[in-house]
Amino acid sequence: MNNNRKKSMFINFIKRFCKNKLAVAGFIVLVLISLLVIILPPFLTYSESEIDPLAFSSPPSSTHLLGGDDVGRDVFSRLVYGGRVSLFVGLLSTFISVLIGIPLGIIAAFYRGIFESIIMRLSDVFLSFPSIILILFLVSIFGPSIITVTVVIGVLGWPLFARLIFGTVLSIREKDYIEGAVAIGETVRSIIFKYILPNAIAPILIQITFRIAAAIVLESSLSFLGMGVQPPAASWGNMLYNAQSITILTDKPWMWLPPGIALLVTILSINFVGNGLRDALDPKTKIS
Amino acid sequence: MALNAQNLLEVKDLKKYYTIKSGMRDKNKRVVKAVDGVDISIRKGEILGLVGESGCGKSTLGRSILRLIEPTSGSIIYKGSDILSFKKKDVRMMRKDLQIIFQDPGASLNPRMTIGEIIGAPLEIFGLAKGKEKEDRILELLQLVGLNGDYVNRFPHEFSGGQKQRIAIARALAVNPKIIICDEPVSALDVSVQAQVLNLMKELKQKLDLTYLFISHDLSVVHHLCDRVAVMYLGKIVEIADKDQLYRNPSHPYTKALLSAIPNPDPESKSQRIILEGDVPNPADPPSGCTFHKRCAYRLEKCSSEAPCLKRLEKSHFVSCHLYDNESKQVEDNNSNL
Repeated sequence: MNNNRKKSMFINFIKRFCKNKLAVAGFIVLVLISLLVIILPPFLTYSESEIDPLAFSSPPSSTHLLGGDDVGRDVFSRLVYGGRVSLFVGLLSTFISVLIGIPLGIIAAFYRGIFESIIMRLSDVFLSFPSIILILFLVSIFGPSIITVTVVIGVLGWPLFARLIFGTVLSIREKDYIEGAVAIGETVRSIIFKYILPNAIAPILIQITFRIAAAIVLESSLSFLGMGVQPPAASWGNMLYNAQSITILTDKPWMWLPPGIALLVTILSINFVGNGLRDALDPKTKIS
Repeated sequence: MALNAQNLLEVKDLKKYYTIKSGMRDKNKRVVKAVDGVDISIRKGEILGLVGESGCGKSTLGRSILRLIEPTSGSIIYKGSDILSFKKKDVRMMRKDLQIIFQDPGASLNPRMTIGEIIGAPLEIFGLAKGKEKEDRILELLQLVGLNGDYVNRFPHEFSGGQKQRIAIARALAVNPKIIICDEPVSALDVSVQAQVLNLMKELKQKLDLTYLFISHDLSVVHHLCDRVAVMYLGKIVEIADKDQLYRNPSHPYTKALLSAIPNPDPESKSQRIILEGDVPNPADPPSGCTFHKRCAYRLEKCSSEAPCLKRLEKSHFVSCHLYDNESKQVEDNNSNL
């Protein structure tokens, strides 16, 4: 019966999620992009760094679906490979931020006192640094690579999550149902996991989607500054920033439109899915 | 001492002080005496009413007994041992015997748990039932509080206030408690629903051999439900008596004023309303002597300098007021019979 109940709650969750058409669309688009980016590379005619002298700044054609860039590399191949990098950086760095920020924020809000002082002041310190300069500094120490960029963006993102969940938990811990949980003898552990976390998760989901988007953009800026993904490897960011000159912008839209659209669609989809998840996790949302 | 055997729980000289500072540099800490030396006993099988206006410390007292709030000093004797000296583990075991029902049923149930999970939680914590047995017990508890067994998979927001309070009662009953502290359990409900929940509580008390400490500010509700009534004012018990004695012969000027405030549906009746002067004093800065003297119509000279203590008027009628200094026989052992 317990299993059945879990199952029916999961079905209800799916039903609520499916009510939000935008979220479903976003989810489908994200799955498609992920599949494309993961499966496609071995089947591409050109690799991301392969130069075809004939495709030098060429417009889209049958051999180069999205044309060639200013050194003759296939834009479509670079778009697919770049997507791998962007999604990897966005998802993993956010995961790292959440992993550090959520526990710290909960501890600070739940135990207050010295924990609150240390953790929250530390987060202020992190937030007060101009992040892009700090990232540049750290990346130059550890050497530019996808992994370093991901880890650095991830570690620097924790205060966002810590502060957000700190505020939420602070208000939840004063609720009667927490006192009720204490009164029926719940342990601290289960109070945190069964009573506080489920009620504090909604704003975090939204923040996660924003952060994934922000991390993808941050990686793009870093690539532009030469500290991110190193050419000839591609990322959506460095593709965009390679297309900086006015002639490319006006005359050769195939070099910057595809990565720009890919970035936009991905980030939008992530945000839609986040909204849908928040509503679906709230039992008060009606299933009709 | 004969009466002592009936006492299920004895609160002795319980104090809960809060210190407030207006800033980091503020040297003169002020102390709010939310509960200031309360002695009270709860007898087995009774419903003890605790009345008083907002902010007089009645909820603080109730929560201190369960150690949801850590009292500053005093002792709470249950089954021969002092709850306040318990270690964490013992406190949890104590909660199997002492339970609480909160005022706002909308806020006291976790909105992300189903009714089954809410009522099942205490069963799991204390390992009282598992699997099929647990499911059966949850259904049994739901039926006990007059709810349909089909509700187990629903969430709290799908219920009305009265139903939610029934769920909260079912959760409190899950561990088979001996004493339930009811912290204004019906004041958030509609009047019609109040009566239903009160009758349910009365019925459950009979059926399950429970003892209640019933905290309320509604004197009619207390009259309907309770066996004995304690009146609290600014952290202190000012009068405690059997229900009939208290309502027939209120002795403390504050109790008199409170009782006169109960609306009387008979327009012909000549009962005179006693209007108290002034407001409840700031608990951070209570008046000297008897804390009530500034609002009291019968104040004597010594009221402003000397604090009265509880004295026995009749067999089980105690009052804390200088007016009765001469009539009352000082009882040697106040605590044992309160």
